[in-house]
Amino acid sequence: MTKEKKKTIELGGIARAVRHPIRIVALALAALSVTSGIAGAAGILSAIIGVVLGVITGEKLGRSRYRLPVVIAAHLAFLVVFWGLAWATTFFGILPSLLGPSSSLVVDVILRFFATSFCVVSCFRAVAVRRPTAMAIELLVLAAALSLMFAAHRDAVIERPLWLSDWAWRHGYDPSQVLLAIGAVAVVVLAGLLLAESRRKISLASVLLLPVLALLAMMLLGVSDLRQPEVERDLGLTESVEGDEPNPTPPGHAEGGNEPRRDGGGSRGEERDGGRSGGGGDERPDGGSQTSEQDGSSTAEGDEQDGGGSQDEGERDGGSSSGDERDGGGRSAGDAGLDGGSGGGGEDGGRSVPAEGEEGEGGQCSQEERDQNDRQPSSQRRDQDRNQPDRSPAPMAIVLLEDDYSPESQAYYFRQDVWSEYNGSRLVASRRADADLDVLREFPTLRTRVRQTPPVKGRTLVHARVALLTDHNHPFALESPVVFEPISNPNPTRFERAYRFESLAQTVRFRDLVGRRLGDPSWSDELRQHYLQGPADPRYEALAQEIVGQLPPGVRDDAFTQALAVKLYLDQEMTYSTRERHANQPDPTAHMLFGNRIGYCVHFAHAAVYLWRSLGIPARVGTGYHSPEDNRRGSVILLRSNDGHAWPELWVEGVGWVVMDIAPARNLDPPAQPLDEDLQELLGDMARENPPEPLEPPNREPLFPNLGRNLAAALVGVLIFAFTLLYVVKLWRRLVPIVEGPQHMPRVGFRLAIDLLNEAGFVREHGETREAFASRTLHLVPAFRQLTAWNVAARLADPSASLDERAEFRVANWRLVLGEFKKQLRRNTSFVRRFLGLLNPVSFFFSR
Amino acid sequence: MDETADKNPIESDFEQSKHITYEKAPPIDDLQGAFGVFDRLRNRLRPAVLGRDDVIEKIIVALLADGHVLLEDYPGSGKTTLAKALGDAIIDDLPEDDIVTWRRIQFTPDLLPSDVTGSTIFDPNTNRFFFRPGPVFAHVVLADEINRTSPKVQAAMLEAMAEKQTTVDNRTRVLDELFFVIATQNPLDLSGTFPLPFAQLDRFLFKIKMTHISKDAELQVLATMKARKHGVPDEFPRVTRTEILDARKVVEEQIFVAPEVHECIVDIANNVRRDQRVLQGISTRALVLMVPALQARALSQVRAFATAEDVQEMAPFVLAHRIEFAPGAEAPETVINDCCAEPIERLARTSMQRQE
Repeated sequence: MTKEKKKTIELGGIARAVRHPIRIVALALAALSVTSGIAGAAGILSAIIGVVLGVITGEKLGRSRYRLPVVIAAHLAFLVVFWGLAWATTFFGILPSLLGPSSSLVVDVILRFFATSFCVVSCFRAVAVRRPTAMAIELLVLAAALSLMFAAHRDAVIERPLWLSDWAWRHGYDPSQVLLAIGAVAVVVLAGLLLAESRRKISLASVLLLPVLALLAMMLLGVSDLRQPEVERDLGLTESVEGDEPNPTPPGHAEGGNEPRRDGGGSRGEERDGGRSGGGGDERPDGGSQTSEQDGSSTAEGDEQDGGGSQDEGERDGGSSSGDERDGGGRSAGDAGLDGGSGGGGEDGGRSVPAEGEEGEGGQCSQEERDQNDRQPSSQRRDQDRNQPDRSPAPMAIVLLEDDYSPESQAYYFRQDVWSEYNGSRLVASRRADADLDVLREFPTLRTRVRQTPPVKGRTLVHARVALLTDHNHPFALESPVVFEPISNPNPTRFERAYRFESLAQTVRFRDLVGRRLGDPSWSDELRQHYLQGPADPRYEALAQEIVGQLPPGVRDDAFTQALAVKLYLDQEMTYSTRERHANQPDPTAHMLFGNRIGYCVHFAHAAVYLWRSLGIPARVGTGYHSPEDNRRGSVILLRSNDGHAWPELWVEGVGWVVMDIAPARNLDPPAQPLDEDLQELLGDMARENPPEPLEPPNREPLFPNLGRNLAAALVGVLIFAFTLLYVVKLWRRLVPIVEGPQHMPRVGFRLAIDLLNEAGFVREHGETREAFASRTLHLVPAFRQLTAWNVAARLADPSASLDERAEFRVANWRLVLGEFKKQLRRNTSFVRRFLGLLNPVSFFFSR
Repeated sequence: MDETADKNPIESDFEQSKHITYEKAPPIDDLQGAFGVFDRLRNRLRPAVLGRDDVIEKIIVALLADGHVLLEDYPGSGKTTLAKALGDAIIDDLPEDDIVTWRRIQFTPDLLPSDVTGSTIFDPNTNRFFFRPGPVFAHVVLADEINRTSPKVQAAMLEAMAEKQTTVDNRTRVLDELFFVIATQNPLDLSGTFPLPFAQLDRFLFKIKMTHISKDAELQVLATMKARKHGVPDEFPRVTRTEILDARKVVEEQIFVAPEVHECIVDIANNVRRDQRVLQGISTRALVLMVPALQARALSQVRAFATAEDVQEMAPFVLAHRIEFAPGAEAPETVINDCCAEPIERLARTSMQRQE
């Protein structure tokens, strides 16, 4: 028994000893949280030092003999003096001239923060020492300062501070629970401090402070030990990422187009009357105004509609090379023309033509696209590219098909944008409200339905998900999309974003389209005209009529057959080369078509559309990605930078927009890099719902999931249990004297008496004898003196006498005097005080 | 009750005690009787020395605990009056032993031990040497300014105090059983003094520092000056020598000191010895002496056992003068109270512990 006693006393001693360190640490933390937002390292440090010294000084001053107003006035004077000093350091030139301006500013800050924190803390401490009730104010200040750090976290909406909630998220905790736990711990610590201060004697309850403090320290340590997230984007992709512009750019416009500003370009062109503007350098900071002059001098038409002049060198090179190749191109074109003529003329409607034409050619066109999309299409860059054949095109996106779909054209066309509006020199994205409603021009945040969907007949629904490896301006989908919806990014360190689409993909065979009307009868005349507008150049119509004229008379009037004939003609006649850019031409398409007939997909698409439109066939250019079916591996399609493509589309009644791509017969470009199948498989796996383990960032399993909630729940549970237990004990101590026998009556009865006195607010001091305490309360409860005498006698008097002889062991005596005692207590003490004492569950800890 | 000295003339020329009797009072053998002795003494001393109730109580406690008292006080604070009143309160019921109730020795540097103990004198009439007892042969001895005399006189005095005997001319003579010394010393006027060494301070049960009395008490002193000129009136009963000895016996035998109290004072002693501010702690003899003090103090409260209150009350007076403090230490009372607090708290708590 005595051993236990000793132990609790020692624990109490420890708790009492750590009381001041706890306060210093807590106040220093508070100073840190207050000043961290408004001061630099010097200010924070000086504030913390000020706090530490302030606690010590306040403690000493509180116990000194100076009167409290004097102490407070001294603090104010100290504050004023230090602020004056701080002001003087920067106001007069002496110190700055000695130390330099920045050092004197630091001195200024140090003085201010030190003085302020020192004075505030010391003042509160001194007052709290003198008047224990002021402790509450001190703790309130402390709590307010600490909670400042969490001030932004209100109603559990914003989980601030971010460094804490980030840490929590990363370790799998709910930040609101972590904050809850911290709050609970802080409450317990503050309450403990209050308890420890208000009582001279440390009770069992305040011993609980130690583990709580340890817990807090542990959490703080854990917080400070944050690991920096490592961004892993090093699959050998990053180097080529920067050059990838997935959107094919039109001839004459693409060069210099660092930003994908087709919309801007289009709109500008329109605003300025079909590109009569001068240079447009204002919108192209990189294009630069210095080039516009050269544009003006070098181009016959004067101001081309856009600032492609930044590629002067490339143009000149291109010009010379095109000059060289013109002959060859002409020759080959002639040969091709013959071949095409024979091939195309012989066919009746292109039953099987597209298949042959498309088969291998799409890849070549996309090969072109890659270079075309490179931001530096200058000859040097291209030469560099040639010198580095190992360089593979950058992956742009991963498409995971969820449905089995094999396209009729044997290639997947992922449409991102369409150009249908003729702006005087080329086709651009339409700004009409009623045109091209099957394109979504922003990423979906909700499940979004495309405004215009094609007829279901002749099409099948295909679901797929897309994970973008680089940023795109808007989503693309297998033609023709119906629904877009966002999905969570399967791997944020790898993919920019992910979404899902449903498309009605074409299943009707091309041959079945023969004989159908082209163009939607529901279109207004205006819209129909929109899709028919083309350059005024009469050569287009002449060429188109010439092509149509070669058709057998039976099918000559069929619009689709006419369109197909044009396509086949272009297939035959054109030569693919990304080097031939036809830049700085008023109509690059005409320059290509009626010139050397060398170009790339954008030129071909424009040519096809212009020719179709001159025949009265509504058409437009679609842009996006093109991937041959052969490149599909399982359900994964890897889209690379060289898969960017532009193609002509035409509207077939009952089917909607149908892709009818041009596949040139000859290709001057080197063959494309083969697809990296491992990469494709890897990225496909990553894009799936369950990413493979090793590529995940090292996301440790949280050691204690739901630590915050469990901690809070445990705290509440322990509190409820403890309260119940305490009240039971209290009730027991209250009731047991009724049944107690003479042996223990002096102890039990007296315990009841001191419990009651304690609840009324009277407690024996540490080291005060029972008799002295009885004398102290004599004016309130005279009967207590008798109880005290009996209680002491029961223990210290000569035990050789029998119990019956000793008055202190007589139960009747005790009952009588206890009754008297209670009466006196009720009469002489306030009811409120006694009631509060009755409610206090731990009151009996302080009875002694 | 009082008889004159000529009733039984003795051979010596010494005067007899003022109040003597040849009848024995009924023996005292219980707590109430002993407290009666205490009460009577207190009642007689209070009117004689106004405003010194606490000192009076301590002195009676020391008397009943068979200890001596050292008063540290300024001149003119009523020490002599107190000692005189105490001597006056005692009736000598053994007049034939040549020991009077009260003597005062004024110590000076040129005093000789024989001036204190008495000396052997040649009587030409009988041609014999006879012993002429010194002032120590009294019931109550006031040793005034004991630090003014030389160590050999102090030693003679202290031998008498410790052993209740004195040795003159190589012959040891026994003092009275009721031998009670009230010594005084002036705490300030120290030039030419011989401060008592610790070993000799140890002989005193209490060292009491007297402070100036309160204003009311001082006014009362002036007001009652005339009335008190002739001593305490006889309406306050005196006690006999035997009654005091009986009361001592009751204190020693009937007042119970529990083992917890023993533990408490031993803990206090250990705390004092461990204290940083103390150079030399208290001796075991101090504890041995303290137990009767506790018992006598319990008697003063009409209690048959010693409690924590007694310990708290007695400890500073019993212990303070036996401790050698480190230089610059705080007031001895502070140190002792600090050392007492914990053991006393523990003792106070024992009453709430379940008794095996």
